[in-house]
Amino acid sequence: MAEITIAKHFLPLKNGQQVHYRRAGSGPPIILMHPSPSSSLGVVPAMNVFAQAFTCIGLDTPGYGLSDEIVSDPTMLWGYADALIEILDALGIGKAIVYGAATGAQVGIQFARKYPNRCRLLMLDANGDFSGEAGEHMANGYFQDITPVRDGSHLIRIWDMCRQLSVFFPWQSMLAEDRAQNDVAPPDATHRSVLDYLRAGPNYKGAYYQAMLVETWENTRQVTIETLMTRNSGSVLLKHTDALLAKGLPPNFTILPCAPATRFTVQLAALKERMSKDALPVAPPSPPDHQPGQNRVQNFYMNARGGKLRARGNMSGQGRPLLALHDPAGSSKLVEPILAPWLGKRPIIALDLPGNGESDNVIDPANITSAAYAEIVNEALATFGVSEVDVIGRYSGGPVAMEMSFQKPALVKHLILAGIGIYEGAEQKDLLDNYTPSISPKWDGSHLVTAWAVMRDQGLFWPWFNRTKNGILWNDNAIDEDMIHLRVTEMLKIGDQYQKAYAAMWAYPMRERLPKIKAPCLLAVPKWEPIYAKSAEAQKIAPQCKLADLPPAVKDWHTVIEPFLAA
Amino acid sequence: MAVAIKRYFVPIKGAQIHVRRADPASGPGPAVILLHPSPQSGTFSIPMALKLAAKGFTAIAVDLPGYGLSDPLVGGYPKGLSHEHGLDPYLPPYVQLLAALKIDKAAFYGNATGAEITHIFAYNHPERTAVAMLDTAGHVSDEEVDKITDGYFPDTTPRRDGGHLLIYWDMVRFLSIFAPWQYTDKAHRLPLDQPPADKVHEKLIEYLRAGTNYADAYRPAFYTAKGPLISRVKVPATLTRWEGKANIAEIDALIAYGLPANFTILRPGPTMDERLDAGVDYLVKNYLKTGKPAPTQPEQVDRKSTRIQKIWIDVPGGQLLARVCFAGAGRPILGLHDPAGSSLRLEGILATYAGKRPVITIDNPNSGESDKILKREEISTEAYARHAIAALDVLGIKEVDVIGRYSGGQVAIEMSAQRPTLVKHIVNLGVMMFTEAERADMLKNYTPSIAPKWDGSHLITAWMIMRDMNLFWPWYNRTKAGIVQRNAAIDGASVHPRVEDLLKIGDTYQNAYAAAFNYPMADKLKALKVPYLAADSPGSGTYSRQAMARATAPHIATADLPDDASAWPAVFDSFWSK
Repeated sequence: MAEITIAKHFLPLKNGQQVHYRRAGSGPPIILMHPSPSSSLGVVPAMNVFAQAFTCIGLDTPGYGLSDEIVSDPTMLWGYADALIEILDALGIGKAIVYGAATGAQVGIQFARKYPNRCRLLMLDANGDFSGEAGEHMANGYFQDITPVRDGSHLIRIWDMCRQLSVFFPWQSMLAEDRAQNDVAPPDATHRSVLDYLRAGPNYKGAYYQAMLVETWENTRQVTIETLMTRNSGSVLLKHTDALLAKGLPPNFTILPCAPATRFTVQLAALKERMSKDALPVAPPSPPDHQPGQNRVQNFYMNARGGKLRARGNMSGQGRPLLALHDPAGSSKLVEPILAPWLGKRPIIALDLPGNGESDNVIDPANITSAAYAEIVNEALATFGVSEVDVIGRYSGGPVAMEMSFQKPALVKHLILAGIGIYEGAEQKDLLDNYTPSISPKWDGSHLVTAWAVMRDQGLFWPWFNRTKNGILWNDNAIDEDMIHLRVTEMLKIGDQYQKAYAAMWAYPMRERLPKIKAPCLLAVPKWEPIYAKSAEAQKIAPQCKLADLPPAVKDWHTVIEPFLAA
Repeated sequence: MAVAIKRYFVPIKGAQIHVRRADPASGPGPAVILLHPSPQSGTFSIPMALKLAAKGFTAIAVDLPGYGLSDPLVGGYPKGLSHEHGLDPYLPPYVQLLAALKIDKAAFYGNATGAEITHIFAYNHPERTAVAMLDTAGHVSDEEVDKITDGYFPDTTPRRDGGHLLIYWDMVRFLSIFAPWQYTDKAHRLPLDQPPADKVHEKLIEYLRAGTNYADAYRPAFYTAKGPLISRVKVPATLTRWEGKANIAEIDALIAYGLPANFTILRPGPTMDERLDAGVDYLVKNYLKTGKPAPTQPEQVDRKSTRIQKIWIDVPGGQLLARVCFAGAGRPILGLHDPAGSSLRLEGILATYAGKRPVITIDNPNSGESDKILKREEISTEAYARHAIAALDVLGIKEVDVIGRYSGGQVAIEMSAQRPTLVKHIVNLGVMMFTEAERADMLKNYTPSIAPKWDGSHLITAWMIMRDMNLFWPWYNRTKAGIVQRNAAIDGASVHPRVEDLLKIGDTYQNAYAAAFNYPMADKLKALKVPYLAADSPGSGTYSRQAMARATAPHIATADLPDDASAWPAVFDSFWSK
């Protein structure tokens, strides 16, 4: 069997909004919709099989994964069917096979009922009947509030939801009859589910809850087009699937009995058999990721080392692109606000470094250095067609920007290093030894507590582990839970690789490299930074660099950076 | 002779008050009642109690009702009280306490909430107050208090995920980062080194003792810190203006408000010794000669009551906490808990016998609230048995029927070996008996460290261990084969008390479990002469042990327990009537 390549894309829609999808294979199009609250990653196992005969389009449901919330009223599941029409139109697909699992199955049912002429065939997986008491039992306590709170306990709540999904169904049950007769998912898998919730955010309930409400025999049987429904003997939902079947379905439904091991092959065989009678037109190629004309920050992918780096930005406007690079545990989300004032005026790119944010981890884990990051960024820019760039590097983004300019002097026209420092001797050792405790997934979810506490204490002490009087950071609004939550979310995405990313910054030979800077360079930090004095120290070694104070709020940094770039 | 502090319970109307008492080596002196800040306990007052006893006073550090080990207010904290009267519900318990102690009049020394109760008490009961001493009192407007208390008292109702423990941790930890703790601006930052994790943890345990009602006295005490209320006091009084106080401005505001002439302002320097000595010196000059010596401590429990009450029992090396009800007739029933538990785990079972037969259940040394008498490496089934026997001797009990949960059954077997006449029947709820392979596996995996960590994550570990004990056997076998096929008691209210017990014993639970795993149960059962019933619920993780025990020792009895625990006594009764 040929190896399946799955490519990630963004799909531009009206008003500059985007949905995210994974695409694989060739042939007639099949749209795959995942269970809540995950992402198209949840349908990758199906795509790996179906791509042998079909063009698989695995969607991140609007509001989940990396898709924008394009549904105007997420409390109505019909809205997701309408959104699917918009998506098919944007993909240039007239009619498709629609495959949905769990929530995806219910969206599929709504779609097939409302738009039967756009749906060649409906394939349902993990669906059932939740009407009456079963539905109430299911929904009662199922959807917990995961709004960030200052103590981080919302993360443990998410952990509980994800972990217990492999202990009971519904997860919040304590009844023997609801016990899942499975091994508990390993911590890594539970952790990945937690990340799905973090991507979906406090509105994760949207399609998830609505799908549960409409998951009834009455709604299912109203599908009039040809429908293949899976009965997976190993599904946690089997009880509910059988309840649906027991009520009787119309003749346009064909039941596909299978076991977990045969699920996708049974489904593929049925799909192929149907297509052999009445094939669909082949799907056209994917359109470009984004529309530069739109006045909003968009997502796009940049290619390097055979993988994708996620960028957030906008390529409209005049002049050289302005690139922002984030700190070791961060992502484009952390530096995007720096670039916002230039939106529409000049191209802006906030990039997730490999392994961070939503970028593929295309860096060699055995060689994580500022220079290695720089090589990959330079390759991505070249592939993207950028030949000149001004770079803003936040913390570790600074040394990466420096190395980019050393590797490609013609590429980097200006450097703005926002928060660099020389770390040597005892201070360097202290930071290397203590700054990055492991946050790798533990069986009890306690790594989430550690991650939260590390990030929160970064607002209280410098270094964060120096919890003495001397370590106090005298700042206002030291622990804003929304900011901590964003930073923790990004930190959890890179996971323990943040140890190496930080180590690259602490160990960077700054004293030796600074004098080599040739590009116009600005060393700039706000005064509230605990490492404020380090920029001046750096400038003594590199007097060719300019030194400036940045305003306290990131949104105002452009007032200092813009004149430097213009000079 | 060094001054010793001992703990006692004092019965009042429908409840018990917990006190720590330090007498001078020469015998009782004038009584000084010490009142602690919220939501702590009399442990806070130990340094002051020692200083006072050394100077000739009998110091009695009281746990405020609902805090520490004192019972909550009978009927609960009433609703709808005005700010001025918010602490009034605490007055009757103190009057009853003094009456029970046979103390007509005492000096009161209170910190924070304790200071607030002191001045309210002195105003309402001048006839019982020799001196009212306020350490940490102030004058704050209602508007300012509204701001301080907004967000100060988060809901800590136990959650199924254990997240409420992180709320406690957050509160306790931030008490030394900001004042008020929930503020985040630099004007309210405290210039302090952070206490180590074990100190934060100790304070958290005090919050757990107070429970979800931890704000009952704490909140109203903010609102009684007012010049007009404090200046109503007519008896001799002091206000301590300690230079080391973080928010001394509140005290200065009270001084500026103007206190009447019966108040003396004490102005100690910045050290803790200076602070406490200022109060002691005042009492030596103004109270030592005029105060009457305190009578000896009264009996700790009401022997006629059919409530289960708490009692401290003196055994070699320290004190053990027991829960008892002496009413009723016949042979007493002794309850013994599991390795990470406490007497609370037996209280529900024994409550059905209260008033019918005498019942006693003891916190093992180092467990629950009992003193940490044993070094970790000294913990053994034999040592637990020795201490239980010593406790029964103090109570004058010659014969018992024992209900032992898990390792509690082993302790009972050991007690009967150490004193053959003592134990007449043993009911073992859940037999701890293992194959060699299981024993090795459990010694390795059953008891990961729950020692306090800087980030509070040990609380989540403790929670998840205890919760998974309801879901898997052993709890760390999270495979299909490990599933405990029964309804799971994993709601917050069910798991929380067990976690509280676990956190109190801390990492010593490793030794307690190891003692149970290593106990040669098969040999002991074979040799056992006392009637023994192995009882367990079908579907529980340990149920198969019952058959193992029976196969090893065919002379023992076994019984299946119904899920409804209220039906268990019928099973026990039919066993010990044989």
